[in-house]
Amino acid sequence: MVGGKTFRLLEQALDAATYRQRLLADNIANAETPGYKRKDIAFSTHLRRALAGKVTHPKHIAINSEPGGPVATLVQESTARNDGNNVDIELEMAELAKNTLYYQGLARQASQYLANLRMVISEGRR
Amino acid sequence: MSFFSSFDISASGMTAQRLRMDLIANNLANANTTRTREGGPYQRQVPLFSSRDTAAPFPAFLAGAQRKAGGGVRVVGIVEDPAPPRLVYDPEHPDAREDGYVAYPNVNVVTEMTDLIAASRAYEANVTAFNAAKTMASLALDIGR
Repeated sequence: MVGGKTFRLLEQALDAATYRQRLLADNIANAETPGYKRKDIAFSTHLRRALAGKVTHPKHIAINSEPGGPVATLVQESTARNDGNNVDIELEMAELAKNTLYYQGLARQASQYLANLRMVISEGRR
Repeated sequence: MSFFSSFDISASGMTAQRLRMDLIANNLANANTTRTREGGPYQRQVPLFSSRDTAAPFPAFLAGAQRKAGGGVRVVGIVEDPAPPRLVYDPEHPDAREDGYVAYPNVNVVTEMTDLIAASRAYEANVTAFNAAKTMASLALDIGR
């Protein structure tokens, strides 16, 4: 239903994409700030944590596990410039474009989910 | 609302880059100014950027301590470039020193122009980030329509 697992997952993903947009905007705003280190969501660690949930077989993927929400991590290792700032503006813009499209996909999927529900409620009639 | 803080972050970047452009314009306008109120030639001014922790405390509190994203960029000050003045031999100049040299501002026009382009591009990048946030917000409004 409306509060079902699919919708909750979509909600969380939309939430994470919104958060990521904030991080990327912050990176772009600080592209010229000396000593600033770029922030991002470390997706792989996040996925691992999400998948660590309830599974009965190591090769199963837990669908209903609750991720604790995305966590921002500082990307410290690379220093691209003399001023200690490691923001690569091309990378940030590309990630920003990707994130917007990702969000668009999720929003459309949520719409589709709701449209399906509406169709069921109206018993298939228009 | 995370979207609004995203707007604020991009706006802070735009404000910072605009101030940078203002300073560059001022530097260029005063590239040959030999008299200032403080005495001596004009000195090149540069902005000092610093990252800001959170734009507004309430949304940050609402989102929980985990969701720290920073609050954009902040201009902590405008500093004068300590580089020595450019000396030009011109004994006829009213501001010439006793040895005949005139101290001109330490403004390098080429540096200022390249900085101007960099500031303009950085401003555009912030505008793009702002528009991306706006697109996402309007997409969210269309969910379930």
